Amino acid sequence: MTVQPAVLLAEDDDGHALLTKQGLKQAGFHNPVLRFRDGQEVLDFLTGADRPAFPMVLLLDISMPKLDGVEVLRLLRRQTVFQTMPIIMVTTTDDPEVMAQCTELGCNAFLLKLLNQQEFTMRLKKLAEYFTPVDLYTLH
Amino acid sequence: MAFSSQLPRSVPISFPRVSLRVLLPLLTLGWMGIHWLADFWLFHSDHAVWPAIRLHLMVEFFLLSGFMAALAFLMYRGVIHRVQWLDEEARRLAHGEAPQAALKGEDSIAKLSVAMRRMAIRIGDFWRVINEHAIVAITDAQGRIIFANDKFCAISGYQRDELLGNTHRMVNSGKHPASFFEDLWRTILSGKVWSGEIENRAKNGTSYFVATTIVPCQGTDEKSHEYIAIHTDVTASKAAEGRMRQLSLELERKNRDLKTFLHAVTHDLRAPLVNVQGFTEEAGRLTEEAVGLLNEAIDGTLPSKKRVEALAGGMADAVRFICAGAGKMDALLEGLVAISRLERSESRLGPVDASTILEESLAAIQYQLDQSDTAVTAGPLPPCLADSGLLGQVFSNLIENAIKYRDPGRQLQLGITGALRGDQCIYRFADNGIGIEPEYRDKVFELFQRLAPRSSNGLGLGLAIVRRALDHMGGTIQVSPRPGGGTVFTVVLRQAVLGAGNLDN
Repeated sequence: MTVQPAVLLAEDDDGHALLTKQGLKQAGFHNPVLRFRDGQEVLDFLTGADRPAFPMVLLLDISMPKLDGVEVLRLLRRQTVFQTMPIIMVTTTDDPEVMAQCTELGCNAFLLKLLNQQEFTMRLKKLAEYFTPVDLYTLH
Repeated sequence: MAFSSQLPRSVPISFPRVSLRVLLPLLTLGWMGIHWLADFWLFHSDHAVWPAIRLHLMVEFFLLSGFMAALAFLMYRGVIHRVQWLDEEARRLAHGEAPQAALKGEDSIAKLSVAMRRMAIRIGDFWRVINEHAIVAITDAQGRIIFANDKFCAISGYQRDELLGNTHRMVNSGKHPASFFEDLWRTILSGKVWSGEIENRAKNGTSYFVATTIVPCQGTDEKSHEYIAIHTDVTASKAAEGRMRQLSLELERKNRDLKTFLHAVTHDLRAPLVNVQGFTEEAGRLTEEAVGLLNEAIDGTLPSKKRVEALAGGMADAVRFICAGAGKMDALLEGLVAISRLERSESRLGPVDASTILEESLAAIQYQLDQSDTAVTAGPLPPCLADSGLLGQVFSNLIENAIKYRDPGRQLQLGITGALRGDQCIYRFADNGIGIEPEYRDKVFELFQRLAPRSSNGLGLGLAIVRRALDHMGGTIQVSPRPGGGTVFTVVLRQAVLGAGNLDN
């Protein structure tokens, strides 16, 4: 069995993380999920030495301690390496101001943590077009 | 100017009347000429009449003298005396005295006196209006006050004789740099008008603001110089301006808070709901699976132990997340209510015995302190100017914060001490907990800002409540690292003034 590219999940709430993982599974993605508990952690991982060569997608929660999702997005998109990596904001808020800010900063899509788990799964499936691995080592 | 146009353009010459003025010298010359001719004729005609001529000349001389005296008297009454009166009146008016009744008559001197009186009355009216409206001071060339109106005395709180002879340094607030007054003097010394706003200090030490115009003028005599300063009291509008700025700042802050609140409602309150909803669905799915397994069991196919364990684990997880979500919602709502109550409450500041408040706060969370095995050392705290309810919230939230973010590796030690510095009261809460990294030291006081993941028991409310409660009492809080690991929160409040009332608990 080939090693599938990892889904990066930055989410501080254990429950949300578990639900997202299940949603991925139900949507048919059996990729390994790397979970981070705050923005700093995911940033350190991505800029660190042992970052994966082909992350599939970054699911980024907006409200996180230490460094929130918007800041992580800003810091990542500033670097050439991360400009084409698919980043999907996973959030409870549908505040248009925050959404506009994220779009401007260059996120690829929004995924609302809707109260209906089935709809959440369906939307994950629809977002599969972004689920294309990006080589972080050759794209410069 | 308005009153100058009311003066007659040309003064008609009517006194002394033309006829009289021409007639009198003509008559005199005629009289003298006739008699000179008569004398000449007599002198050459008959020497016997000499004594008669001499008598005649004497009579003539006396008559002429009388006539001249009468003429001089008339000149004095009609012209010189009246001009002297005008001169005297002008001098009196220049010294600020009230105008007298004008001269009687139709002649030009009388008209001049009427015009002068009218002018003086008009200037007096203007002067009265200015004094009713503005603060007026006149200084000599050296800046010594030589005139101060009632308004000046009233606003500065000085008696008039205290002000006279002194300079404006008496009301100097010391708020303006030396260059401010240097510029003022440079302007008026070069004969230009100076305008600006000055903050002055009254005798009782309070400040007042005046919008000022200073005009260099000629003094009462031609050689001297004076400076007339007219000030308008703008203290009230200045205060209103300040109040408005403060209100708009407050409004801005409230708006920002409202935004955070809205964000909190859409995000932080929704986050636990996502768990409740998601895991309820999950529980439903697991239940269906369980029912399926049970039906299979009835049919005789027993499920594997691994499947049952996975099912049980999933169910337990789901129930745990649902319970935690509901609990978090409840705590969040409670905290939001506490904050909105804090925003609406009118704080009543008074001297508060902080030691008693601390004892009460510690007693109220004794259970948590025991559970977490916390060692508290509390020194005596000096009384401060505060609201006892709000101070209690500050203390209990700081203690709860220390318990929440304790270092799991060692026993929590919380040291609470108090000190006085100047008119400030300083309380220190030092713990040996996990500490706060420097870049988050300002963030920790914001609403819904947590440094730990959401799954920990922090809500991001405690320190926000502390900051807001201290804002209400005019106090501040700072956070600094404690040597040896941990955090020190320093609360600064105003010291309670002794004798300002009984200690209020």
